[in-house]
This record gives sequence, C-alpha cells and structure tokens, in this order.
Amino acid sequence: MTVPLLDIRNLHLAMRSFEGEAHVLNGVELCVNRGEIWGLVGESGCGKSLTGLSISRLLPEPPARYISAEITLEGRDLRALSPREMQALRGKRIGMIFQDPTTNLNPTARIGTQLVDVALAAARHDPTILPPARSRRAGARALALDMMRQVGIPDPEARMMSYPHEFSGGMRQRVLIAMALIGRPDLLIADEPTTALDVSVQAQILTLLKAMVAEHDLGVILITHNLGVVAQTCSHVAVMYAGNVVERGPVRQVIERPAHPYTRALMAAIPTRDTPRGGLQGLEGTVPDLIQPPPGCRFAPRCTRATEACRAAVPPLTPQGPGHEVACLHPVTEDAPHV
Amino acid sequence: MITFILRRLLMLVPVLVGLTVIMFAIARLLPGDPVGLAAGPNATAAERAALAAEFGLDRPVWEQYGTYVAGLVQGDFGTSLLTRRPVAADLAAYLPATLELVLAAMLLAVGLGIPLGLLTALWRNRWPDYLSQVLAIGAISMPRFFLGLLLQLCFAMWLNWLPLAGRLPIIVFPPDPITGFITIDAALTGQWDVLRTALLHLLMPALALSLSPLATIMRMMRSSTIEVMGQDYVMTARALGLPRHLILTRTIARNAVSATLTVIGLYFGWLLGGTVLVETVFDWPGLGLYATKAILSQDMMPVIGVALVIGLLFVFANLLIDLAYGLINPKVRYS
Amino acid sequence: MTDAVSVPPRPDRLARALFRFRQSRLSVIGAVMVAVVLLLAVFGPMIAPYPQDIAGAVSTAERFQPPSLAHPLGTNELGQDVLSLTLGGTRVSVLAGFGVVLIGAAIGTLVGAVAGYVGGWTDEALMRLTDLTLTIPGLILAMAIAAALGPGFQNMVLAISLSWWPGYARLVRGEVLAAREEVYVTAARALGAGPGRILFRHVLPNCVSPIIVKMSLDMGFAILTVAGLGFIGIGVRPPTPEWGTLLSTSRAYMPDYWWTAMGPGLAMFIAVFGFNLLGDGLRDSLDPKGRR
Repeated sequence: MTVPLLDIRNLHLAMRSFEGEAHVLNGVELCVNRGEIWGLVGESGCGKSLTGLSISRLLPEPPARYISAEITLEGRDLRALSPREMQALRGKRIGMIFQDPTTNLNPTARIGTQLVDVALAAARHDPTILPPARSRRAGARALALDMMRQVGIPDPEARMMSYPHEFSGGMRQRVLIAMALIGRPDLLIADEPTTALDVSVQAQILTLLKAMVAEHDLGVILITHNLGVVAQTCSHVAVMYAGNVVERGPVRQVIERPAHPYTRALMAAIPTRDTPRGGLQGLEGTVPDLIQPPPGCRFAPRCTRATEACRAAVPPLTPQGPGHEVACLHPVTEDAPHV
Repeated sequence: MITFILRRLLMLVPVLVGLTVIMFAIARLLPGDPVGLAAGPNATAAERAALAAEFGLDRPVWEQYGTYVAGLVQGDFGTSLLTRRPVAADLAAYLPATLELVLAAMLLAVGLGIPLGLLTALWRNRWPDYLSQVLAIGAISMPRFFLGLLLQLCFAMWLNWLPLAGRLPIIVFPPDPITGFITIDAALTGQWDVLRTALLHLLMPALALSLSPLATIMRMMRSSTIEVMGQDYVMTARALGLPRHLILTRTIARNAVSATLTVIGLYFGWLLGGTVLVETVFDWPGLGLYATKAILSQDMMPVIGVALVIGLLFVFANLLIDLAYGLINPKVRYS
Repeated sequence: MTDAVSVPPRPDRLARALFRFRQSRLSVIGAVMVAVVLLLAVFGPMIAPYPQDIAGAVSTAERFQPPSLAHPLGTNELGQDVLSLTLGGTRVSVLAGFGVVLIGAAIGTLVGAVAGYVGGWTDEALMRLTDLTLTIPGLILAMAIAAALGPGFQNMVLAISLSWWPGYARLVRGEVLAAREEVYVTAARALGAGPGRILFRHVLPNCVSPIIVKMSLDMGFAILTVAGLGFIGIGVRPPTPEWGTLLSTSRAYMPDYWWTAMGPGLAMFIAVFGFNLLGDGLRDSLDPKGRR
C-alpha cells in the first residue's frame, strides 16, 4: 500500500468572528492519491475552501484556530513545518488555483514575468524543472513558454509580454493553471476554477485539467459546488456538509448509489428533462449555526432518518462499498432514482 | 504609447491659453490701479499717462488681451521696477535655483515617503505605526517658514553644522552654468568640493520644503499598501510560493505606488507654492524670493510673471507624472 | 431579521458618528485643542497679561527680555510681551482662516451646485474654470491676487478665498450629480418645484456633511496660508498682531533673541495641529469607510 499523496485526518478548525467562534471544520477526513481527481462538493459555507486553504496553511492564525489537524503530504507532516519550510512547498509541491481569474493576477506585471517568477522560485528548490539553457532566467523563460503552450494559449511568445487585462477570462484562468503547474507540483488544489467562466470555456478548462493530471501524474482536489463538473471531470468525490466530509468514494459509486441522506437530497435536487414543472425538489431546513453547532451529526436536524444516536455523536466514516465510505448511522442502500 | 503622449500634449493647449487668460484678468481687470501698480508709487503724471497709453487701457478688452499674449509669446513679460530689467530676463535668471530646490524637495519627499509608507503599512497597528501617524500629522501642521527658521536656529546658529542661507558661500565661485543647477554643474565639471558645499546649502531648505508632502505621501502610500495587501493576487502570489522580497516589491509595492503617484502631482504644485516662503527664509535666489521682494515694493509685473511661470511648470510637471503613471500602470494608456 | 427596510433617522446617524468620534483619542484631543484655540480667539485680548501691547504700546526699556515669570515668552524689539501678542494674534489668524474657508466654501458650493445641477455647457465651462484655477498653486495665486488688490486684511482674505473655492466646487458638483438622480428630486420636480427650490431645500442639505468635513480639514491649511502671506508681508498692517508678521519681524533678531519667534511659531503649530486632528477625526467618524 503506497503512501497516499495527501492525507487529512481529524481537521478541526475554528474561526473567530464578531458573533463568536465558529467551528467551521469538524473533523474533515480526506485522502488523495496521484492520478486521482477528487471533487470536493458542498453548498456555500460548508468549509470546502477552508479545507483547501488549510492544506497550504494560507489562513492567518488568528482569526483561524486549529483545534486539531493531521495533514501529511506523502507522509510528511505539514503541520510540523516552519513557515520557511512551508513556503518551500508552496508552488513547488503544492499548486493552487483560485476562483476569480480577474482578481488573481497582478495587474501591473506582464504575464511572462509572473510565470517566470514562479518558475525561478520553484527552481531554487529543484533546479531540474528548468530545461537546460544558458542561464536560469533563460531556462525559466523557456519553461514558461512551454507551460503556456501546454495550457493552450496561442502565440505564447507574443502573449508573454501582455498584461492580464489584455486577456479574456478563459485565457487568464489558463495562465493561472500554468502558474500553478509550472513548479511541477505533486498536488493541485483548484478552488472553483471554472465558476467565473462561460460554460463553453468551462468545458475547455476541465479537459485541460484532466490532460494535465495524465501528463504530470498529479493528485487534484477540485473544489466546486457544481455536481455536473464533478460527474464530468472527477475520478472521486467527497461530499461536505457543515464542516464534515459526509460521504466519499469513486465518483460513479457516490453518484449512482448515494448513501448519505444529504447526498441523496443533492442528487434529487438536480433537475432533469423529466422533471415536471414545479417539481424541483429542495431540502427542508437550513445549515446549522456553526457557533453553536449541534453536538452530533450536523445534518441530523434536517434528516428524516435521524435517531437519538445520530444526535449524540458525530458518526465516523464507515465503508459502504469498494472505496466508498459514508458518515452516517442509517445510510441508504438503494440506488438513486435517477442518474 | 506614442498616441498617449501626443494626446496628453494636445490637451495642454487649452490649459495654457486659460492660464494666460487668468493672469491677464488678474493683472488688468481686478479693482486696483494697474497703471499705478506698474508705474510704481513714485511715478509722475506724465509717466502714468505714457504707461496708460502703452497698456492700451482705452482699447477693448480682447484687444488688450491680444497684445498681452503677443507680448508673452515674444518673451515680453513686462519690466521690473526693482531690478529695472525685463521680467523675462529676471525669470530666466532665477528659475534654475527654484527648480533645483523644488526637485531636491520632491526627491526627499518621494524617496523617503514611499518606503516609510510601505514600512508603516507592514507594521500596521503596532506602536511604530501609531507614532508615525501622529508625527505625520505634526509634520503636516508645521508651517514651512517656522520649520525653516527652527532648522536655521538649531543647525546653523547653535550647532554650526550647516550653512545658514544662500546657495553657496560668497567666497566660492559657482561652476559654469550648464544646467543652471549648481549641484549638477559642479558634478559635471568635477568640482567635488563645490558640489559638497552646494549640497550642504541645499539640505535645510529642501528639508523645510519637503516635510509636509513627505508626511502626506507616507500616509497615502500606507493606505494604498494596506488596500493592496488585501487583494486576491497577493494571496495567489503567496500560494504559489513567491519569495517574500518579490511579493513585497513586484506584487505589493508596484500596485500601491501607482495609486500614490496621482497625489504626487498635486504636491508638486504645493511645493512650487511653498518655495516662496522657504526661499525667503533661506535667502535662496529663486523665483519665490524675487516675487516676495517685488510684492514688498508693490512691483506688479514680476509677481504676475512668476505666477505664470509657476503655473506653466505645474502643468508640465503634471504632464510628466501622467506619462510616468502610464508607464507603470498599463491600463491607463488606453483611456 | 427585520422585514421592512428602515433608514436610520438623521439624529441617530449623528449619534453614531459622535460615538465613533469619541472612540479615537486623537480626535478628542484635536477637539479640545480647537476649543482652546477658539476660546483664545474670542477672549485672548482680554486675558492677555499686557493688552496694551496688542494695541501697540511700546516700552523700549523692556526690549528683548528673555522668558521670565513676568513675561513667559519674553519681550520683543519694542518691549512688547510676546505672549500677549501671540494671544492677540490668535483672533486675527483664526478669524482670517474662518473667513477664507467660509467664503471659499460659499463660492465653491454655488459654482459646484450650478454646474452639477444644470449640466451641459454651463457645467463644462464652470469645470474648465475650476481646473484652470487649480493649475496655479494656491499660495502663488493668492499672492498675485493680493498684490493686485492691494494691502489690507480684507483683501488678503478675499485673495486667499479666490484660490480656495475650486476644491469645494468639485466636491459639491459630485454630490449634486449623485443627488440629482435620487427619487426625491424627481418627486419634487413632479410636484412642480423649480430648480432653485430643489437645490436649496432638497439637494444641498444632503451635501452638508462632506462640506463640513472639508471645511474642518481646510481650517488648518487656511491658517497656514494666512500666516504665510503675513510672513511675506501681505495682509495686516502693524500694530495688529498676526502670527506670520510677528514671525517675519523676529527673523532679524535670530539667534540671540530666539524667543521672539517661539510664541507665534508654536501658536501656529498648535492651532493647525489641533484643527488637523479634529478634521481627521470628523472625516473618519462621518465617513466610516475612511483611511485606516
């Protein structure tokens, strides 16, 4: 059994706000291997972005406070690293893409400069990523051009001199992907990379991501609230609710045989051609208050199958099928009504 | 880029015209006695009549304006009663000294203001930041001429570290005027001791003139740095592992400075205005001192001439800053 | 969550602004300083130990006395008590500063309101005029106008005001442009109100807050400009004490009689410092998205 690329256990995070301290991550468990694209889905506020940021330790502490966290990257304990050691991993072993390509690029620096900067920073730790050239800068430049070609930016020689505002949204996101991958990371965390893009561009970006994974043998965490994206692109999926991973496993398993009541509700809510007018299925109730969360399963207040045992303690992840786990004391075993 | 420059130059023309209109209005149309002011308090009736005819005060206003502008274009700014020379010649003689002082002050204000602003933003809300805020307000509140006086008292009269006034000691010959800037000319001709003493003379006036804009630039830079630090692209730069010094310069500083640059143009105008006061304190032979002496003798033409020249300088300085802004912030070039 | 949207009434907004103001130690200090300065401006000549000196009395026997109990800031070349002169100068400088700011604000508000409300060519023309006035640095423009108008206190105040109004014109024009689109203006027009009435009864009262903030921020610099002109020699005639003029005459007696400069100089600094703190505090409390 090989060491997993990324292993998150027991991630408990509290965030201080005006109203009090919110227990935003309640024991997140996630395990990613190379070649896997994990979709991390859930509604807004369930903690998926925070999970991504926690891996790279990008959250300022305060207001964040880690109650407990065990995060290892190929066996290496990330929580034990000094800030300098962590900085050595960012961009080099862990790449990140954020949601809005408009605001995530430095407006006053040329694209080429931004790519070369990341490449040089990565090369300081691993000079082998640079192709042989007369100087490090020339090598970094060649690498940047190569990455731009890989992500599908036409005429990269000329585009290197452009500024971010001269690119379209889709192009900018490609640039961000190039920047995230130029350091040859092992793990890529993409936080809603297509949400701000047109549907047609979305498809292109997702295809690109899959190609990158195949090419560079990455592990990917794709954070999204769009189940369609997950079904198309991901190999595995983890469903989050109110700070917990409530179900996880291979994507076909979870989508065809959702075991957690919340997952089933999510699937049922997706309209299809056959959904009659007025037949949209929502879910009763609202997300719990994270400052005073329910003690046990956080979905219990909205769950039709909940019992006293559910309210007593958070259910652990238990196997449901091959690679398929669910955090529920009363999982559903039938197939989903539609797929 | 070229079209940007040309467009900005074209927008200058109406401004320059407007400047002359305003100056003409002040010189000729304000209540007050233009003939009396131009002729001086000791003129005879005949001299006054001659001047009235020369000014063409019986002609329609727009014709008067026309003659005025025609005169300006030919370099005729009137004659100074005090120096008995054409004002234009006086202006040319005194301009370099003022420029040298203002540029030195600008260098100090920007060269110290921007880094200090960056630093206080990085150390925000700790005691050095709080202290610098109070000091900044103090610096802005300090009258330039009083500051100059205090500097003179302290460093020239009591400690005897710096020279009291003027551009050079009387015994030192100024270098051949290549640019008119004593400092640059001395450097260009290799006269290092002249350069040294000229710099010592320049220090206190430049300090007195620059303290207030320095403080304001520092505050502006601080607030724009804080705003930039909260932007998404800074988070991305960190997430992608850029080294800290690069994040500071290329990501944070570059974006924060472009916001501060717009204010610098305004402060150039403030500096130009302030030379009047500082030059008076330090006996600095520039436009400001020239205008002050003229006012005290009720000599009108030099004052108008100085106002016109300073207005022109301000317009050109703003143009340069606009162009520099276009260089740093590429989006502006297309507006 | 409340169902109806409620806009807090004016007094409540004021109360909250006041609360925010009190939070900042510096703003409160500024307010206290300004209060002291204003008190001295009003009562200065009465509490001065040697009021006759303010009126112009000379006693050559007492020339150039260093600071002592009898004369805390010493005496000057005419034997006059520097402290009394400084106190007397407070009234002149503060009055002049107020005059400048008030007249400047009045002219600027008028120009800006008309430009913003009428729009079109009037707006263009007025804005060109505003921009042009700004191309000449304020002090120089004030000097030129003062030189053309001739000496005297009123001429000096007028001259500086004429260089001061563009800032207010721009500010008010912006506010009026924004307010013009508001529903209550359309409603007033529908009810048949003329432009003058709309401007004065509806639009302008809502602009008052930023104007007040700007006026308080400008007070300090207005006083500095007044003193600056006095230093050059434009403005009041002796024996009226004015900080700038006092400082100018004291220059000749440096360094031996340094105290003659300290009174007016420090007074200037303290007054402007107080007004700046107050102005900053007002801006931060009335406009919460402020600087910090």
